[in-house]
Amino acid sequence: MMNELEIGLGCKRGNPNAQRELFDRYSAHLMALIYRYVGDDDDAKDVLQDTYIKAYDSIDSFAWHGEGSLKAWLVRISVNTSLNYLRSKKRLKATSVPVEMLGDPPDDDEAPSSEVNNLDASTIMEMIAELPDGYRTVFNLYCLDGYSHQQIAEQLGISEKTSSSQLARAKVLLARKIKKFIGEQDKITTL
Amino acid sequence: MSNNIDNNNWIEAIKQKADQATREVPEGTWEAIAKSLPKQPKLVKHYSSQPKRNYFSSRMWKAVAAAAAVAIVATTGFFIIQDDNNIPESGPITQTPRPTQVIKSVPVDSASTDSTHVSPQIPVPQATLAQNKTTTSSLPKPAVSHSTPSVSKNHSIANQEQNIKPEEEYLNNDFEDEMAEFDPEEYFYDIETMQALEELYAEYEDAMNQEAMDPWKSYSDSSYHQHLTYDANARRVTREKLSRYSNKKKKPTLLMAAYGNGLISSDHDATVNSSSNPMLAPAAGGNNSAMMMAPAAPGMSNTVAPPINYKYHHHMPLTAGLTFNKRIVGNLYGNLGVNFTSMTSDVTPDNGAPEFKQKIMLVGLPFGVKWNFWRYRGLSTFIGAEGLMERVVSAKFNDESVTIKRLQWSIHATAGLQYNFSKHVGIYLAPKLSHYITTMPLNTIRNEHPLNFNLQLGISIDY
Repeated sequence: MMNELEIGLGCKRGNPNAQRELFDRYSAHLMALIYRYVGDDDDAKDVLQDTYIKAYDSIDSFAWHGEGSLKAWLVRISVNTSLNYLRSKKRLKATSVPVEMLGDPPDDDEAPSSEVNNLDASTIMEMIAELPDGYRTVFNLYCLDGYSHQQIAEQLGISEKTSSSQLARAKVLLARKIKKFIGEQDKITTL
Repeated sequence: MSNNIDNNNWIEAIKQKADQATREVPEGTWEAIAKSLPKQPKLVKHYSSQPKRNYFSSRMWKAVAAAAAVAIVATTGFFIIQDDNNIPESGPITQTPRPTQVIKSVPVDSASTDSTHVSPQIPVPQATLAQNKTTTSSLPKPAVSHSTPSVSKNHSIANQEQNIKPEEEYLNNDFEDEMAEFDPEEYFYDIETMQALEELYAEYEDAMNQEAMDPWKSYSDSSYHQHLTYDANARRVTREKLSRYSNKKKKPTLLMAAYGNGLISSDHDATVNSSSNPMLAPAAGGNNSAMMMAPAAPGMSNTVAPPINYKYHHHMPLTAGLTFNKRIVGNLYGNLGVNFTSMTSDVTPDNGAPEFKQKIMLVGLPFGVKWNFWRYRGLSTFIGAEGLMERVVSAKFNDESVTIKRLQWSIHATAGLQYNFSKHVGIYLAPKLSHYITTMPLNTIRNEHPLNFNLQLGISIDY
């Protein structure tokens, strides 16, 4: 089994085995990541293909910094490709649900972490994917991929204030979804 | 507050789930990707497990390498061009100082003892005129002067050293080697003068033989003894030269031979064009382009101006340069560079003439190795050894340009402290011990102190 360094080296040399190994090892994780950005399996597949093609094309720019650096490098390409895809589809321009319609988030609109831990990862990813494009994107970037509001503002062409408020609404929506899902699960269990 | 903590916790829980999340990849995804990949494996120049250097440093290194290559080629080319120059080298002349002058000769009556009526055409350097037969050993060596201005100047510089060596030393000098290298197309000798000189030698030998055969007839106070100091070796050289050039068809344009080796201590009338030779300048320091040797009274042959001595005050040499260090292995670096050195001296003639300056400019190629044996953060210490090849690009003794072709070689040992501002650039302070192997015909601080100690402060560029 090849390690990351060998995979990177092989891809730089155009080794087909290394290229296939790069795909096999990380495609499922990247698919999940892209799915939570684009919110659709078919779109995610297209973006995943673009991600890998970009990765193979720009493999010479990859620098090994230790174990995990190749995966991090692929994640970064995936996020950028996803954002470009959303931008190309003009899905970042409008928020599906106006912020005003959501009202201020109540203090109790949080999901208990203990209950979140009991949820399946794919279920949570689907909940995130169901968020409106704008909210979902800001939530993904800020909460899951570690971007700052300033970076998000630059990436999406919005103000930091908008980014911050969209994040708050995204959290409210996601918390409600989780609570709703847990409530339904409880009812099924009770029955 | 508790809500916030809880809020952060559930977000963190989601993040952990997201990091672990996978999703099934639709079939055909890899095939679609594989179609867009190039069929042939790429040729990769290198792959390093180290973080890749940024683009700027890579470009900068190429630029530095190109600049170094240009500097090396340009400097080497300069040396080659200089080597192609036909101007004779001044080096050997330096070691055999001799005056340069063009002499108008007068017919010689070899039998005459009248100093106002002398023959043959004999070039008489001033230094020779300054001597009598009792001081033969201090007379200057034989010299060959010619019409090439730069050489004439070289000779004049040679004279300033005042190293009029004993005759015995002359016998062992490199004059014969120098003669062997003469190009007859370039130097024209006054054949008649040499013939006359040869005749004079022959007469002297005959006279000495006669004296040996007839001890009662003394020639010891004859004109020969008064005006000649016999030197068999000099005669041999003259004879060889005469045979070598006697068939020369070209019309002699200048009188070129000057034998001041003590062959002739003459009080003949002679007009000496001292050219630009400061040695031949009148004591008063006036017009030194020509001087007339007044006929000397018998026994007063050394009444001409004495040689001029010079006092030197050497200023601190200034060197500016650029050296590039390239890591060979580990902490061992090879270095190559280019530098420029300026040496200035104040020269004071002892004849009362005004002080003037001697300026020498050199361009050099330093090369060597450096070993960084200790390093802490940006600070490092090193020792190194270096060779330096220099070429004199400009040398002026007062207003006279001097051509010095000989490469100047030196070796250096150094130990120093360096602080790096960045990965490749640092400032260093290094004591340096230098030994200058090659000496210059001009009197410089290097000639006086071939081994010296100095302190260097500079900027180092390491790759």
